[in-house]
Amino acid sequence: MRLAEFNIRNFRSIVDTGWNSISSDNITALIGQNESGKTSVLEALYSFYNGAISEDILRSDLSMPEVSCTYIPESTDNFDYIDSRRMPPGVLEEIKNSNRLGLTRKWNPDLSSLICLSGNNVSKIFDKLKSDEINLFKNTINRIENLISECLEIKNESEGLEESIISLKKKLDITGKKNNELKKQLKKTSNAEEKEILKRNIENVNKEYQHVSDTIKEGETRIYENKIKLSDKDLIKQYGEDCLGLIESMDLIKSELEGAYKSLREIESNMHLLKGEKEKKAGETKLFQAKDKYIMKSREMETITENTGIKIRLVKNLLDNIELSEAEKMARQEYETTKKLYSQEEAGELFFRNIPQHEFFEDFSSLLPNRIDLEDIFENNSRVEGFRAVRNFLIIAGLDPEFFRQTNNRILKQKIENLNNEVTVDFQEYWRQNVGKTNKIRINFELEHYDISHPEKKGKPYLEFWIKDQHERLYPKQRSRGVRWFLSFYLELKAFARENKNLHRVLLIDEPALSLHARAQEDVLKVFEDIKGKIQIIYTTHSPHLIDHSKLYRLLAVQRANEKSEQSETIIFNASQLHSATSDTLSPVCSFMGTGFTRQETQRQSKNIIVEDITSFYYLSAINKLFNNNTEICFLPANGPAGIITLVSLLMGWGYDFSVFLFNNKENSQIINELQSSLYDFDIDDPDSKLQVADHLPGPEDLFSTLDFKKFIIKTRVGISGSNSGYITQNELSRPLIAAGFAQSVSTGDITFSCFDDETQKNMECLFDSVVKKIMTLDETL
Amino acid sequence: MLHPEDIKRINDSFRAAPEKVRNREITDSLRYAGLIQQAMLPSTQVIDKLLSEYFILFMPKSFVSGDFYWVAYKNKQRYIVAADCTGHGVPGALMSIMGISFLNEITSNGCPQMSNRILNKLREKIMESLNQTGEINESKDGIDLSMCIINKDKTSIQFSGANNPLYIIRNNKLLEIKADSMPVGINAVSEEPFSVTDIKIRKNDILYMFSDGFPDQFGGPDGKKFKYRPFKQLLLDIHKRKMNEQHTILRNTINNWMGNNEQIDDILIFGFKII
Repeated sequence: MRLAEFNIRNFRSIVDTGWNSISSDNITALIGQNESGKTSVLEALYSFYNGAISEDILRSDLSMPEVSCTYIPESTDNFDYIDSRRMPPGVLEEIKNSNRLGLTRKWNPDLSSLICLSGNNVSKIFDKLKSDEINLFKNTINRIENLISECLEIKNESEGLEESIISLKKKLDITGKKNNELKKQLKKTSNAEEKEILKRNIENVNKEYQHVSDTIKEGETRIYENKIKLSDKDLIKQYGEDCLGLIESMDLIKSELEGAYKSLREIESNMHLLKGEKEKKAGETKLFQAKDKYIMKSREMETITENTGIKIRLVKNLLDNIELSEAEKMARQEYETTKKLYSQEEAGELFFRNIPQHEFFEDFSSLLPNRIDLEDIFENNSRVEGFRAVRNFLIIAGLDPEFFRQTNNRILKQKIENLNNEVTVDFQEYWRQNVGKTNKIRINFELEHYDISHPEKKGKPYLEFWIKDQHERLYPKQRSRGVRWFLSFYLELKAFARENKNLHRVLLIDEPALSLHARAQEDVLKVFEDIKGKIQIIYTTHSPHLIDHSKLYRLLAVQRANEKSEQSETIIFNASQLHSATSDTLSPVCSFMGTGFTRQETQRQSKNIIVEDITSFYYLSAINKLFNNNTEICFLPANGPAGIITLVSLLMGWGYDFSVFLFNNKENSQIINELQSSLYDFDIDDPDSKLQVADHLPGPEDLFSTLDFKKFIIKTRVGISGSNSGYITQNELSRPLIAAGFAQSVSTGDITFSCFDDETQKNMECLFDSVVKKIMTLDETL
Repeated sequence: MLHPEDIKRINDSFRAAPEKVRNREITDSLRYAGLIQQAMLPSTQVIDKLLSEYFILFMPKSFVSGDFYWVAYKNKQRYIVAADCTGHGVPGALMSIMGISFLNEITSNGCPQMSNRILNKLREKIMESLNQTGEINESKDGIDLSMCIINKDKTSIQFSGANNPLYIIRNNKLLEIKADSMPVGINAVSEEPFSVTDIKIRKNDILYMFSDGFPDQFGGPDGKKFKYRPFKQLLLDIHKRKMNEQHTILRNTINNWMGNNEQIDDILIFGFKII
């Protein structure tokens, strides 16, 4: 698995870096001024791995840090360490299909942190699971509350009815008595008129009696129905009420657990302030009690969470009219299935265990000692001076310390001699500086025994180290600081690479090679190149010599959003946006380009073409390559128009053959005039002139049609009505960087001659004929 | 070209006026704008110097037009353009004024000698002026056009087209030179270079350049489009007639076809004979 991208938020001066890609060839350089935030990027990537941060990492607004990394799994990675049955459906498929594994570490205010699985689609799946659980609780609680209030209404109605029935029964009794009385009066009376009235009254009372009696019956029926209804709902209501009780208790236990955790942390953090035995003992007892309480509350929380989870599902099932025993069985199963699934944090933790280890190398101070006792090596005594360097040395030499227990002195000496040769050959591969004219230094170690001058150690074995050249045999400490640093760096990285041969690692290195000569800094880059197989190296640098100018895609430019303010946030430009970074940020790249000529070790006696600057150098070299020209032309970049005369004089002095090619712009016109007036071979009208001027082209960018310029050089679709070179100047883009990007695309074969339209092709052909072909034919005639 | 601030000022003053007055003012303004646009088109005297036999059927839908024609004489070559800007009326007219200005500018100094390069440059200018960069919410306006460059001895022409083709009638046969399928302006995905076609021409060849206004006009008994096949046939039928007669026939034909239907777009046909 290899690191592909990172995104850092709220970490020292960083607010949000956005996503930044790590170079696919495993070497990534962070460039930028002091205080720009380069080291913060390395620290954040290291904190992502080990989880540790200190309070000074936090930003003033106290927003908590968050670091996300995306990894590319190996094609052979089947994620066997993950129980796929416990992974929420779709998560593994998403990781496999996208071939990206996202992990985010988020820190809490108490500086503890959690790793979780991240990435848009993966997070969506986990969010859905969470929201399903929340909705289950929310909806079921609503339904329980509705049920409780429904039951209450029924009960109230029944009680009301019962009261009414009592009073109605009294009324019925009165009406019955009244009826009897009226009937008696009817028997007694003989008056026909009165009889008629009494009959009507009796009829009315009868009707009323009947009505009251019917109402009572209706009420009783309703009460009976309500009783049945309540008995039906009673069970669910009872479970529902239990469930609400559990939820309430869960909230209470949760707050108690939080309180217990808080007081535990508080006691823990105050422990170091305690003085005296008594105070310390009391503190420890307090801490023990707090821990106990926390563990107890955690267990309570675990139990109640499980009970509530099952109960809420049971109630839901009962509300869905599922029979009790079935509902119980289903609830348990559903809960087990949900509980079994990894949370986003659990899944993140599992994947995290399998990502490449991030190692932070801040200094290489463990320098090789003059000597070390074998006893210290056997006892792994890491406090002894130079122990780590010796350990690294032995790892590189492929030597187990046990080897020195060998008693046969001849075998020991022979083996040591062979190893000295092997290590020296390997070291000399990287260290290109000579001591004196031709001698390269050699690293040697020897097995010796203490003599009488060390009576307390007499006869005990020790290893002695030497750094030799032809004439001298000096102890490491007698060598220069630069040599010792490089040796220490070489031992550390080579040992690291050897130990982790088959493992992916991310190596974070802050400012390597500060005390080294420019050439030795390039040697550092060589060591990186050698170990990069499975090790991804991310380093910060200010040095132009620690940047491979042909691999600018390895760069990330780090700077403050507002250059003038140290309070301003850190922003990062990836390789494709380098030209947007400030010139100060880019100074290692630009100064490298400025040193281009001094690096050229290939000037030859003929076929030299002097061009005005590094931008022209990149374009013309690339165009020469586009024509598959096998004859090696040496383009020599002057450092701007002013440097042309110096270069011309230099090459004339050396007796080299050359011509000068210039674009037709205002800056060059003075030099053109100067060359024409002072040197006889530079008459522009002479067909054999050494001076060639691109008549209609103000700059190398104008060789391209506007369309091709937009498509292949600046990669935007904006309309450009003026000249291409004018556009670059107006928009303050970095000409050398853009040119270097183009040269890179040509050298990788991403851009070929056939990619261009007829206008560009004609311009290039014309230039090639008039400049390159001309110098080739001129040389042939010489 | 009008500055956006001026357009805003004009719009604000329109909104402030009472409706009737405003309508009258709009009509007057448009009529006057039409005169300005007419003045920017090449005059007959200029065209007469370049072409001996030609006609231009120019029927704007409104007072101002999104179609325009343009000619120039540079490097002993004759440059002829018939163009159709996005939209019609005021927006089209603004684009057409921009197009005419840009063509004059491109050909005024260091005039490219190839028609496709002129269109490439014109596209850059339009994209730059309208801030077109390929973003979703920006203006997608552009120009469809055909451009011919007749060489100095009138033996060949270069043709480049942005959506609009060129018809050549020779020996009673109509030859269609296809255009590139893209406007002069921002494209949907990416901008590609315009192509150029070199065509040998002969004496008495008749060349027609046009906008889509004529073939796309609705009318006739069924209210349908006139369409390209009848348009080609019509040109074949009339190409032997004198230029002014062709002009009259085309105008009458489209007016009759339109009947009571509204003219849907500006109409432009530029025909000329190689003498």
